[in-house]
Amino acid sequence: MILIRGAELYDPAHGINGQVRDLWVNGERIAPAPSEPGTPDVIDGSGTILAPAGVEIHTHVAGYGLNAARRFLVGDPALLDLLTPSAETAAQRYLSLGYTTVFDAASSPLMARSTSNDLQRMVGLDRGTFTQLGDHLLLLQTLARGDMQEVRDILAWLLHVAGGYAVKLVNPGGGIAWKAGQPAPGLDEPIGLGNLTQRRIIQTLVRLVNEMGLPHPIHLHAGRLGQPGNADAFCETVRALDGQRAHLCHIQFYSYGQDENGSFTSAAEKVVQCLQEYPQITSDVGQVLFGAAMAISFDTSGLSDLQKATGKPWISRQLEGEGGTNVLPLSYQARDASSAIQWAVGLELILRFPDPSHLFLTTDHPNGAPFTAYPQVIEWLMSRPARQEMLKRIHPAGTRKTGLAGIEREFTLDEIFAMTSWGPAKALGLADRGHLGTGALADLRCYRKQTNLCNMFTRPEWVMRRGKVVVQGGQLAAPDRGGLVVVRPTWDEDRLPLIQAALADLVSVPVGDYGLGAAGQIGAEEVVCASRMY
Amino acid sequence: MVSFTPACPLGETSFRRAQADLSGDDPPNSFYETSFRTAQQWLQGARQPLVVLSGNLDGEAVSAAIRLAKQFSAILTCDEESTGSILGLSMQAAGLLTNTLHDLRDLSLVVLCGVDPAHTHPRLGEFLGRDLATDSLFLDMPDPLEALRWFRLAGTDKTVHIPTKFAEAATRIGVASSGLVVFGPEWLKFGKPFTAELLLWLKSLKGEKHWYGLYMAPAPNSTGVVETLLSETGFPGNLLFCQERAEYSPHLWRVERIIQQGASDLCLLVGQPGSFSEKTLALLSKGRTILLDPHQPAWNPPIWLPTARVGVEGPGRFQRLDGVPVEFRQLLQGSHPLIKDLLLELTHEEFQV
Repeated sequence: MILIRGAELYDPAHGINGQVRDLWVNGERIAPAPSEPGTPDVIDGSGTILAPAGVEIHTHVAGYGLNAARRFLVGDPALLDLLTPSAETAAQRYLSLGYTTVFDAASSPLMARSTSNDLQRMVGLDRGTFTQLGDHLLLLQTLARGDMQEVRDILAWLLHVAGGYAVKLVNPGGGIAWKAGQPAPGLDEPIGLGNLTQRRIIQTLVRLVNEMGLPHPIHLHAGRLGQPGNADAFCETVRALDGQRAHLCHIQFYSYGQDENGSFTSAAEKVVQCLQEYPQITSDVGQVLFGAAMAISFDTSGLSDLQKATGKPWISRQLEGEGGTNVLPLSYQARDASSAIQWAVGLELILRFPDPSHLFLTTDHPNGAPFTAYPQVIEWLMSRPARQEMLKRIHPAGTRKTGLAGIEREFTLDEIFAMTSWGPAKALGLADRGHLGTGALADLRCYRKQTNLCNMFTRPEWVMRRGKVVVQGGQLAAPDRGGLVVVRPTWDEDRLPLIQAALADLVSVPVGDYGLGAAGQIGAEEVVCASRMY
Repeated sequence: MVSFTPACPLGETSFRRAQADLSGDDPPNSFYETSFRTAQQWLQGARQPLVVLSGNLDGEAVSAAIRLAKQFSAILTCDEESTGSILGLSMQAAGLLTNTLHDLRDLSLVVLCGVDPAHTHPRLGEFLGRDLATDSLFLDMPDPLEALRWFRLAGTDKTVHIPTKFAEAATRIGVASSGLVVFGPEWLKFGKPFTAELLLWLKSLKGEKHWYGLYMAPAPNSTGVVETLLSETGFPGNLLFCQERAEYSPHLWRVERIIQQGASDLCLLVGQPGSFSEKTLALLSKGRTILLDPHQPAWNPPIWLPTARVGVEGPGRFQRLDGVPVEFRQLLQGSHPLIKDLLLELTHEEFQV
């Protein structure tokens, strides 16, 4: 038994907000105070803040897209290390920041072995990946034919062979249209497979995934990424979900209005109002910071547009039958109007959103900034003077074209932990973490109280994973293997030969070797599909 | 202990050299063990080891070599003849490798620049199938640079008189609505102007039409070796490991330069290099060189440790030209260890297979 004595506890899930209490840990889990305490190992928590460990819901730390990005960065080792660290290094940095659960944002079935290889090396964390199926030809062709039972079976089988935890849709159908030389489709324009539209893909697959009872709903990257005036289209996508459960990622990149010159303005207020109407929907922000970044995305049409706008070289790697990933170097400049607006819009979204357990902190690493910038973002959220100081140093458009300067709200510690622990754990359907309730995993982070919030969140006093201290004073202990988290949906075995025969027509990989093969993710922990939390 | 039959006169030479290096240790149980123990001693005693990866390695062997290089603060490089890493970078940065095998099915013309995938890459040849038989144009020009310049001129300047032998080919290329240009490393041995000309030609072909360029990587897993290096170190090779940090220099850490300058006192060749010069091979034959490869080399490395063939005597992971990972399975029981296991054992005190 371990007794953590006298720390200020923060547990948004149970309404504990800074009260000084003892916390007991028995083995891997949080335990009630024993009737006969015996002689526990005691950790002195006086002067510290104790909270559930962080849960990362959207980051790019595994898979072949990173290698494409590294090709751009080989000449700048420091930047390479910051934006595209190896899987091992990324895992260590997450642990050092107090995160013990990390989900890579997207992997496709054909490249699942590459992603799996990286995930295997991310020792010390619980980690998983989402399976991108938004341009999967077999799935979308079947959907266009309208056989819903077959679509459901394909969905389940693909998720299994790709070793995924949830279904990701990236600008669905956009890659197929792009390869045919067509402009990116809107919500109601055919994508090139009969009358199939993005609206129908989203609505149908969101409903099917929810019916399957997967712990995390569809993880949706909407269309019109990063374009001025895209907030209306984004809100239309939100409404197209018909109130169904879904997660919308990096919404900062969809919260733009447009002025008379066609330039960016903030539409954060409009997007927040829209999302508030749908409590079943969660989202993450995708905060931008100033400096170098790297766009890594399966959104081929979106990045193609960005490439045309910036004129920068890019790499687009397409895969047979399932779209592909793309990378494009970016730089957000403090003296650039668009960058200043993007920075301010992200903070404005979070600060306007009333419930921090529904909008989570991410930087869409490394698209908006490296994840190591979280402490800096937290400081801006908790300190209005820090934001105002920053606004003075950046392009005035950050003040004039967004509402950030007028927002007085300062986040509390309770709200920070809601948006970095409890909220994302709940959205991921991981009931055993993100809170301090009895029986929860003893994944904890402890900070020495100090006035410099950025320093405080950069360097936890210690981090505990499953009852063992894995980081102490910034030093990592030898990590255990950690866990790979997958789901095991079921499908109609009688239908599988037909599915595989259809797939064999689309890909040149033997179907038996497709994705990770029949076994799925090696050495994975299963998560039972019935653990939806709301 | 592994059971091994000395394979050849080269092996005997290696055996004698290895024996001469041992001083008063326990008598060796086998030739293989002796060679191995010598290799291990050389590695442990090396001041600046050099580890060279060939394009024939499977992903796990590359990972094991990276771990070894880190442990021994070694220089880690690729044999560029068999990985094509620099060209691969150029091609991908130019945005020309955006095709998939699936895209290639409906192309109207395949242009083969001095390389026939039906011979060099049978799987791709099979996939292209009919196109290669009926709709292909084989360019086997004595001076490819001249040919490229005429083709590019034919596409951009209608007033120029193009010699007949180029004009016919240029016309076929010009009228095709879509196509694929397949070329191999032999078309890239003409220096930088050639590479630039090739990339410009491919770019001009793309224009409004669907044209793709496909570089036939020179070895079975050229793509996989570079991808594994990028994934695990961040760099495509040319590294010096020093206290867990990797220093990258594509100019300083080039394999033949290091060997010829004597900047390393031990060379561990992980896989047979593609085409080292005679001068380099002569230097390697005289110095402390260890070769791990399934096949008997045509030169005389001081130590050659035969290894299992991936996909025949052991499993392994390769990557196709488009980067898709492919798992190879074991078909036969072999007597030699896999390279990845051998590399692991080289770093240990005891060798057990």
